[in-house]
Amino acid sequence: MTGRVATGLSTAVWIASLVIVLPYLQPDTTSTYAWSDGGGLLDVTLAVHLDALSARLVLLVTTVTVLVQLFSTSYMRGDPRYRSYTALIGLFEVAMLTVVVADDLFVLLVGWEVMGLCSWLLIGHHWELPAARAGAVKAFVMTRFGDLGLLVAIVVTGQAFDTYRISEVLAQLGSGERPPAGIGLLLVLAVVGKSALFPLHTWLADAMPGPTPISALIHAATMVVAGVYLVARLLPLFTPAALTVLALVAALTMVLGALFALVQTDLKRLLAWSTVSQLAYMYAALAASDADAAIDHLLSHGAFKALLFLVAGTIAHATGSTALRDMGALRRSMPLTFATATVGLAALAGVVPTSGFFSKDAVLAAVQGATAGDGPLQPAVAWILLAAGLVTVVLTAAYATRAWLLVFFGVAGQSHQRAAPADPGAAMVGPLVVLGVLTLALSLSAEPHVVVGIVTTVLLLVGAAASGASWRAGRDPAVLAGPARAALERELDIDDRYLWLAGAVRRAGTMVVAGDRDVIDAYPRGVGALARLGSGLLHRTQARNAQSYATVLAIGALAVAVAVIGR
Amino acid sequence: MSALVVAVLLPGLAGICLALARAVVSARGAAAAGAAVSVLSLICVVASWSARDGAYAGEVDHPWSTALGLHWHLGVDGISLPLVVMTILLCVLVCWSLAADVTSTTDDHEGAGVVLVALVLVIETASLGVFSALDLVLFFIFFELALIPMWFVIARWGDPGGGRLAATRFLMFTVTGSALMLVGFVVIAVTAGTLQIPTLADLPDPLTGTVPLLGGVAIAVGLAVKTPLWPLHIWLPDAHSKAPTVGSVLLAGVFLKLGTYGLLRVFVSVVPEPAARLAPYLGALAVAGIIASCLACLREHDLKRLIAYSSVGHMGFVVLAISTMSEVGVLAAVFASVAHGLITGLLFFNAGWLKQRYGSATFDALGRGLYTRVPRLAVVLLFAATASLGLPGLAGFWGEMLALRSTYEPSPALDRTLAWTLLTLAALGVVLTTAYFVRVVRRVLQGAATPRDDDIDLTRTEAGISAVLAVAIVLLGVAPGLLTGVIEPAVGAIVQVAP
Amino acid sequence: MIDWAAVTPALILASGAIAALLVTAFHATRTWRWPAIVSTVSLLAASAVAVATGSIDRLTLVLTLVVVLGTFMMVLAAGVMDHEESIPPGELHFLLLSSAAGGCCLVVARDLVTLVVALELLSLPSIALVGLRRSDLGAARAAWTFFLLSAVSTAVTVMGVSIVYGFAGNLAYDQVATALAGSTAPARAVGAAVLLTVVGLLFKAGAVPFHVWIPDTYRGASVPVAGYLSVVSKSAALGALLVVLTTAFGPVRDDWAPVVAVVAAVTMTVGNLGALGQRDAVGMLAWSSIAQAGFILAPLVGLPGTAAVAAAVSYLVVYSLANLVAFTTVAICRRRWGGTTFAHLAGLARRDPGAGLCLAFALLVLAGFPPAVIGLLTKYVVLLPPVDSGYGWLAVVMALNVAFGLVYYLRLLATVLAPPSEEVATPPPSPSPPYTVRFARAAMIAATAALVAASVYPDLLLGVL
Repeated sequence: MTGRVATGLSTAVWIASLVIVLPYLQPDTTSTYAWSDGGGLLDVTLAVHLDALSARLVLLVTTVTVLVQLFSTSYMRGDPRYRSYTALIGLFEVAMLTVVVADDLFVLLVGWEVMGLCSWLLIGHHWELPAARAGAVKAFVMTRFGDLGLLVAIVVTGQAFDTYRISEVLAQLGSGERPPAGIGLLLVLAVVGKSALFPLHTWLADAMPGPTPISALIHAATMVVAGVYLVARLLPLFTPAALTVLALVAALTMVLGALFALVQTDLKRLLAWSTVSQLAYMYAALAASDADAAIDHLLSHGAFKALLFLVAGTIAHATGSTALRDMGALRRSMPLTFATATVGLAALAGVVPTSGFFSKDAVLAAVQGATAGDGPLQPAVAWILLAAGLVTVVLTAAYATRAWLLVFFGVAGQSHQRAAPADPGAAMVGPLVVLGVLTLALSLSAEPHVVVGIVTTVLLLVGAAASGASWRAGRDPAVLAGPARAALERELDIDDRYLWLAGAVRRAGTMVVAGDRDVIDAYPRGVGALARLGSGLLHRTQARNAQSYATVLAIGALAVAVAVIGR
Repeated sequence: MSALVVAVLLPGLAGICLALARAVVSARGAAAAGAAVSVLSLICVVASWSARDGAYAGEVDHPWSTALGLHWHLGVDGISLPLVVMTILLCVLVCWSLAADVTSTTDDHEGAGVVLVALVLVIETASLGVFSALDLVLFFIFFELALIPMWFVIARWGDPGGGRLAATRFLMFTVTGSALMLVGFVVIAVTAGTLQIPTLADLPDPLTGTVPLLGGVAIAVGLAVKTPLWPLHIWLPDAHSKAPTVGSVLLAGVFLKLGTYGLLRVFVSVVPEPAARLAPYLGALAVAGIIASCLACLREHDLKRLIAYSSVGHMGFVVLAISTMSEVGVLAAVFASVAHGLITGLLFFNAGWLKQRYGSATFDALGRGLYTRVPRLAVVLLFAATASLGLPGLAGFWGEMLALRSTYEPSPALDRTLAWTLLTLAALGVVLTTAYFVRVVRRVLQGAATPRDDDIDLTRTEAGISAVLAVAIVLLGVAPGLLTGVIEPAVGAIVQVAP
Repeated sequence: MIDWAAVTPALILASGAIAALLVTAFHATRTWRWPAIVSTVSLLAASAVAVATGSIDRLTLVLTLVVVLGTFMMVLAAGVMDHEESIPPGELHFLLLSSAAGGCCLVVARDLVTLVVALELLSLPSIALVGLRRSDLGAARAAWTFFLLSAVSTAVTVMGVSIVYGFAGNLAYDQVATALAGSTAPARAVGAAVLLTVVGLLFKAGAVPFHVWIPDTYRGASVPVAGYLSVVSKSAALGALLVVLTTAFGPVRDDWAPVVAVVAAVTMTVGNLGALGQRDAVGMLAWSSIAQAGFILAPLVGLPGTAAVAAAVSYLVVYSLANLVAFTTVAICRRRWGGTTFAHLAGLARRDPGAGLCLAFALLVLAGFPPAVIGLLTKYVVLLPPVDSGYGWLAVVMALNVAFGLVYYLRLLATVLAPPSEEVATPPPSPSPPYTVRFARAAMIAATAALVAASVYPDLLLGVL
């Protein structure tokens, strides 16, 4: 019941958003509404802004949400906390839409951080499980660390431009105003946290104990992609220095994410690392100052990553596990799932003619364009970025192939104790099919980049072939990682640094508590003890003896006289 | 007689009447009467606010002691009105919770429940008096008036173990501080020749030099104890955690604001030049307090102590904002004070309800999985924690945001390098705040539940109190302009407004 | 030439003293009523005369009234002892009035010999008062201690006077002032002479290090007599100190002010420390009266002028009223429940709301906390002169001592307001207390009412000068 109401509501939102934003899909159609006057010291305006960029994001968000809600009606059936779950998805959607349409930076921040809250609560939905609790905490604390960058960036922007309205800031930048260097760097910090880029990348994979539809929502349409949207929206605020940092972070992250994905033993974690890697592609395009390429990749990634997570959910639903070794040979038992998953993985790898092929090529073409050095990026940085992008193509093909083979081919996994896995009902398959079709359909309007397309296809084939070869040889294609495999499975122990940091903070906390008790509190206790001591001594002088009193008195008189004379 | 005078004095007089008539009044009736009187008081405040003309609403200024130049001088402006309204709101809720509190009616000493209500009302009058006093000594009288009633509240209704000690420590710290503050006031009275705050704020040539500086130090120390500013905070965790629920709510919600309000009204505005010289120290200590309290919260195993420590951090943001001595800083200080009053009020109500159920507010006593055992209560606690960690869209955010913003663009009082260092550290405090509240949620609300007999979900009264505060928190969160619109016109009374 | 306006109150009191002794001598049985009536009449007459003539100046008038009306209150309070056979009523009233006459002389004294004589007149009867209770060894011992120390302090004073005479060649205050202003004598020697001169007064006032007799004497004496010592005797001494320091020794203020500041600071600190450990109301009030003396001394370091004197006098008046109330309530409590320890006072506000609330208010006044606004304002007032004259450190010490003092005042306050302790037996049924107790209660309530009124209209007491 709750699920149907939620699905109905999100469908209504979807239809409404369709009606509202469709006109804006045309280029150069923008409008801005402000409902309040932002004057005064606080200077916050409730204002929205719609253009082709935000319109496309709105459609992505509402579409994925409808599908996730629909999928959940079946996937989460019987969950004791379904109501809070579905309500939080609604809040998640509203928050993301707020980010997308906000024209005031503070309104944007509200949506931005409410998303963080929703992701924390939803990742921790199965809070009986220690892993879910820990993953949720990690996601929230790490992203909130990044959020500070956004907060401070907003403060700096406000002071530099005397307004918090994005449209006004962009207008001032359009008329030749130079942005302060710090804003871009702070924004990089913000998206590093939100989009799980290196070095704050570790939270996204640990967020996997959350319900799978939530992963679909987070990875495809909200949360992590909000960062991409933010940079695309505020790209003029980025100075060359900030873009360079962003490019290097993206280059490192895309390779790292792909390597981690290659050796994963858990399907959901594999997908999570692939998201990290793909997000880095989008930031690569942004670093090359090509927002369109980034958003195109965002949209196509949104479609195929939502699809892949829902596939993972379907499989987990059928086999009761997300571990790769529990899967295998699902091709026959779950044909529809297999078909849609094939589309999704092909798009992930960038196979012609899926949308992933076109959008990834657009990104690489943009980066290649930046190597000419006429943009804000240094040619050397652009070359590094391009090289990383091409390496990642190989790796992506390899791990996508590996996943495809391990899940759907070979022998069945161990945990098929239940009835043989089968394609689920319409509520779950429906969204898969829709997303599969979308993954293909999004390529209809795309323009091919011939040279880049040929290069990537060759690289793709290399990766896929390598993966296929080792699989055929009866080995897990993860062996391609060679001697680094073990280290990569431990994700290079980067998380240990954070665990150490958390431990250090806790130790500092222990020290503060001890300091409060033993140092600061010692003073009041000391004063109290001193007072009691003084009081006791005083009473000892009260000897009830007239002679000694007279002595005290005489000495006192003498002391007073001496005090005056000897002063 | 102005409606404002009625608003200030009414609760206290009603409290005295109740205390004298405790033999014939039931605790429940007294609490209801207390709530009613507070509402009347609110009506009077609103009436005098809506009839305002001039800088201060409901201003009365009668010479009280010609020998001292002491005036009976009250008035409310945009700085004080939000705090006045918040105080009354919290007092109404406290009375409401007392009216429904079964233990107060079955207390072994007859009339104890009535006396508790009476003390709450006296505290209310004292706080309202502080927020509306425009004469230094009158300010001081109201400042001190609240202390002894609060001592009784903590000592007699607090924890049987250590309640009295905590109460006495609270009293000794604040009294020592306020005695020093009195010395500061004396210095101002001697050097400036007047006790009237509006006159002092508008002195043609503000007080400068060593003597006013020393006076400023005395005032700052006194208020820093109350606020509290690290390392003078050491009285706070014990007092807050040993106090009964109503005491904790009033301590955190109202008492700490006496300190921050004082810093604005009788420090920054009255001795601007010494304040500017002390601002760097205030700011640094405030940030030290933010970090230290957050770290302490990460290791705290008692919900009430944790909330108490978190107050030190939140007050750190307020003091940081004040130390910038900028317009935004004043706005931030008032906003954050009000937001903290509402949010921490809710947190302490929650902790109190949990303590009532499980006998203690330590994590071990509360157990795990409150989400399943007492779902509504758990959700309210989650909401309050979320608000307290400064989630945008809830009241707590705007105060913190404005505080950080004021630190980014401080007045010349604060060196820019120092200010930005403080900004960075304070921002880390935001992350740490998130971390420790998330820890609470993880440790207490989540986890595998072991149901118990004393798992009782929100009662009707508790739900009502939570609803009122939650609505207020959300309202200020989504429409901060409601509050800033009131505060902003009065900012000039505290700091020089840039042309 | 005799200034009749100045001496008439003292003469009336001296006559009344003799009359009070005589009425008992002519009475066959032990009578409390007649000496009390005689005392009352003479005290009221003395105050009426003082008001009518206006005394020497306003300061002297106020101090005279403090002495006379304080004695009046204590005469009423002493009524609670009417059932104690060991107290001879005639002697009691005789001694009270004689001592009060000495107090009146002390505050009107305008030359140093008169000062010494008046001091003795104040002291000797009060020593006898302490030892009045027959067959009470403790009282006798307390009186002996008091006597011995009093003699020592007077001796020091006389020595000081003689040195001053050596410098000034005169003993009248105004002449001394003129002489010292133009004197070429070494400033330090003059300062020492001044301080030795006032040792006798500091002794009566209970300033440290001349305070040692106070705790023992107060505890040894009956409660009303302790109250008399803490109010009348102390006020007279402090009043005289005010007069002599500001008039006779005003010109050499710089020589003695630093030492007075130190004495004030040490006095209030030691008094508070002593009071801290007390579990007996009289003992606590004894030490607290030492601390309070420090607060009254402090403003004397202020710049010459009326402000400092006015501050000290305001404080003195409020302190006297509050102590009157406190001692009277304790006396009443002792009569009804047989003791003055905290255990006897526990829950007083419930067992005897009138006495309990009056005591609570008096304690708040002494502590200087609202709702006893007047107590707070007098604390503020005495802070002004030190700050104004550059004794900031003294102001800080005073402030810290205000906080410090709250500890023990609050302890007694909490005891009084707490539920009654089980140890105290319920009093024997006395449906109508004797008239003496009712008069004592009336005095207590009147003094409390004055303090409450002054809390609402502070100028009633703050504007006395």
